[in-house]
Amino acid sequence: MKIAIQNLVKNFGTNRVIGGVSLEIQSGELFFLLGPSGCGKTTVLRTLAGFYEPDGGEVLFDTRHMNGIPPHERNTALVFQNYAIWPHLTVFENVAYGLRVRKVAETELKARVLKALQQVKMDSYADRRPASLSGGQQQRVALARAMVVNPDVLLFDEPLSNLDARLRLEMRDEIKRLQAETKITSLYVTHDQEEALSLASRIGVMNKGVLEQVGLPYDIYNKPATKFVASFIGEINLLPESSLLAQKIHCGVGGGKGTVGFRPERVKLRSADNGIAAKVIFSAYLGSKNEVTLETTDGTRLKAWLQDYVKEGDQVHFDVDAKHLLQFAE
Amino acid sequence: MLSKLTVAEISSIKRERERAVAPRSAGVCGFKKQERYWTMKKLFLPPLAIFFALFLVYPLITLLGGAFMVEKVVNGHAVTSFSLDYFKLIFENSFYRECFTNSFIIAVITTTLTIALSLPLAMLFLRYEFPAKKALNVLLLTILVLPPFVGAIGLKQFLSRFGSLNLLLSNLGLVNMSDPVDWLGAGGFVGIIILQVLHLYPIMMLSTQAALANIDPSLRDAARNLGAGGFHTFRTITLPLAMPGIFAGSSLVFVAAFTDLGVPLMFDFQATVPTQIFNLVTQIDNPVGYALVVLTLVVVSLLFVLGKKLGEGDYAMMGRSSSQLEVTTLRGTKGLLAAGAVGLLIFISLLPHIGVVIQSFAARWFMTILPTEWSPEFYSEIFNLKITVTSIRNSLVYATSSAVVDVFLGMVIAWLLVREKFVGRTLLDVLAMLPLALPGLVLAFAYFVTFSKAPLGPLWSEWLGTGTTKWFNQAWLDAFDPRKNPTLVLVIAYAVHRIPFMVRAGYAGLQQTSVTLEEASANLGAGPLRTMWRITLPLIGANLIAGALLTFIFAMLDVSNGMILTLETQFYPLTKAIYAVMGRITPTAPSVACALGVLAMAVLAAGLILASKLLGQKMGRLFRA
Repeated sequence: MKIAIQNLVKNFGTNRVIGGVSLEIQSGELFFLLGPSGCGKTTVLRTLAGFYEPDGGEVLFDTRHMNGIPPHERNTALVFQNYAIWPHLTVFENVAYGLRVRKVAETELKARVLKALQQVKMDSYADRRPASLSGGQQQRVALARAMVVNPDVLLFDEPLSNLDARLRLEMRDEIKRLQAETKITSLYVTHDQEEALSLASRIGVMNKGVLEQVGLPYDIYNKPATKFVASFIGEINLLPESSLLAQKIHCGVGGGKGTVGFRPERVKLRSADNGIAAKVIFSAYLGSKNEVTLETTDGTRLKAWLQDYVKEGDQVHFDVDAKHLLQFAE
Repeated sequence: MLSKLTVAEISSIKRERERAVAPRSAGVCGFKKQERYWTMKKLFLPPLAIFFALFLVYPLITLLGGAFMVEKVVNGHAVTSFSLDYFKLIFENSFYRECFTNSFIIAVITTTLTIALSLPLAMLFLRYEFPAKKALNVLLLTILVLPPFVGAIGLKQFLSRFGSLNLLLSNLGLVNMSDPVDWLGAGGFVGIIILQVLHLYPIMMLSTQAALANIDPSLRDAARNLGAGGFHTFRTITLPLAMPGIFAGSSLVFVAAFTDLGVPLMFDFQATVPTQIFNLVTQIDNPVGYALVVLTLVVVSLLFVLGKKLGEGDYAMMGRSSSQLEVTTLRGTKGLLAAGAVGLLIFISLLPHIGVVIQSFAARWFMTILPTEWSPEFYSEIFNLKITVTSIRNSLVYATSSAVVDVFLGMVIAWLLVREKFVGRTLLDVLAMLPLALPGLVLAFAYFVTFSKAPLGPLWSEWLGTGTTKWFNQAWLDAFDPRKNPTLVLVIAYAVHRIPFMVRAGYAGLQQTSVTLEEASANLGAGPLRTMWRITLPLIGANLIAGALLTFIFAMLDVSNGMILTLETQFYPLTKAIYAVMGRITPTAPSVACALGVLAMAVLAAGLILASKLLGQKMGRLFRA
């Protein structure tokens, strides 16, 4: 199932939450919408699920126009942020719900529910009430409940945000594995860049109701299209192109009105005659890298992740390879 | 997950996908599709509109017409026009002004006292475990069912100038019987307040308790964690979060106290608004009655607007933490003290009805602390009297039917109000809450004049042409005529009168239930009705059962509807039978009436205990592991 979103607009009262988003999600893709809270990513997701009716634009599943189709006629399966596990039904009945709606015969239903519960390692909890489950367990049930109906579209609404770090890593792998096996077209909404970079086929970065960039995880990180994308994903040092420091790094090119940027890991130490002088004012040694803050002679502070070991107070010289410099119009 | 599926499974998946996704008809696309899907709005709004038009708007228009349309003779012609003349009549009358003042004071004092009583009580029941807690809780609910107008007989027996209390105190030398203490105060004014408070505080407590129970305990924990003391946490966190519930309870209590007819009537306290309205009901052509009713509506509506504004806290607990409320067990003296305090309060609340019980066995009770002769004969009498036997059966039928009607109405209306946006949403809200502002006797009076004088016929034939008159003179229309058979109109009157209670119950339940639980159901392919039946109803079922229980109880004990709408003995409900028996001139009449009252209380208490057991189990199954 391919999803096409064409010039989507959504207002809440006078507040424009989505201002014209166009996007195509290919069949079988695990597409990520990434952005800070309030950027409209969840609104896009809920529009696909049919809980919001667009104020402008269209949503198509393959060639089918989805505007006006109520949620229960869409065959999307949503994994809710707060799980939305029904407290009055057992784990088994929660997962069986969608199959009962689809009038699946009892023997087949049992087999499929148990299989789904096995997939998320919750089969031994089938008869339990949700109130006795931990957050991670509830999330597994929610995942099983969504996948068991073999939906056309899987929707994830920040499904891991309420879990602890270890569980989050575990569930992340689980989701990636299940999605890869089933090849169900999926939209995953999150503000966690690591989640997005590690799982996504492609990522769309949203800010203030518009898409800033759509691309492969590698491109989003290494070729950010805008300053917002560059600073939202990963760490970045940004300098006005007109600054002396920028020109030094930039080998004399520029002096324009834009901005140049480079990632901390692109900073390399050089010999005294070959680099720019700076002082280490902060250093945190993490084993695999050394996170330092450098202060140049004009007082600019830069982040750098070095392989070399330096201490606070050390005088160093550094440079950035020209091919790793990013340029932004503004 | 699909990787290891068998062929059979795959084919069945295909089938179900087709079912779930295939457009219902070919070809059409885009926005027009919306028209083909049933939504709750489309399904229920039209019948709701007809229901409210017929049983609320139409009777009210008849009432308003009576209050505002004044017939004058201009140039020898009778002209009907809009006028405030009847209201001027009321305001210029110092007695009617006094009536308003009295009713207002009764309501304000009653509300204040019930809050003061119920807040500590609700906290105690919610947070502590103490001896006999369950039994005390059931007893508290029992107070709700005890009809205050019957209790008035008992309270008078105890507290009147020559009642038991003064006689007892005189025996102790504390009161001189030549100048006895007037405990009931100012012709029964204090007595009315006492009865109202003792009757109404459990309602307030239920409402407060529900609000408190729905506060996520972690919110309190957070305050304690940041260094707030017990009382500070209560003042800054618990109380503000519980405020919507307290306001909801307050508005119920205020209106109940303001508009109650039974109690002032039993004290023969004439200077209140309800008694005056009741007195004027019998004079159907006297417009002052209409105007008095409309003024009451204004006062009560103002209060509701205020209550709604103040109670509008949107504290829907999204992603509520799973931490359970911690219950502290009070041991030893502390536990006994708590149980004793609650027990004493309940005993005082039950005193009027204990008086009723004593009276029901009293063959002779005059100027003595307790009866001098006892007899069980009055109980056999109520099972031999045709009027009492029939009335019990009638009341059960009326009350059950109206409760069933209300479960349906309450659920649907509450759902539409909480979950949907539509044109006329505010109107539906107002219509659903309006009955709270309508004292039972007003609605009953409106129904009576609307459906017996003109059972639909004249109105419709006027609109559709006189040729259609015969359509509206059919036999089935007799079902609407209370003079022929009041059952339908009476059941609807009870139901309409209690719709707000049901809607509030459903409303509260829905607000506290995250909408994502319903969205998850729709998302998995369940249609609106299925979602309502399988998800919404079980989740707020406890609220609805509690609401239906209240509907049943109020219908069993409602005074005014039965008084006005039933004319023949065979249709009398219980309350009217009690009045009818009380009205007999035989010296044993009060004892027979009290025996009937006791029987009614026993049946109700039994029903309540049963329902509370049912509810308790269900709640346990619903929300605990």
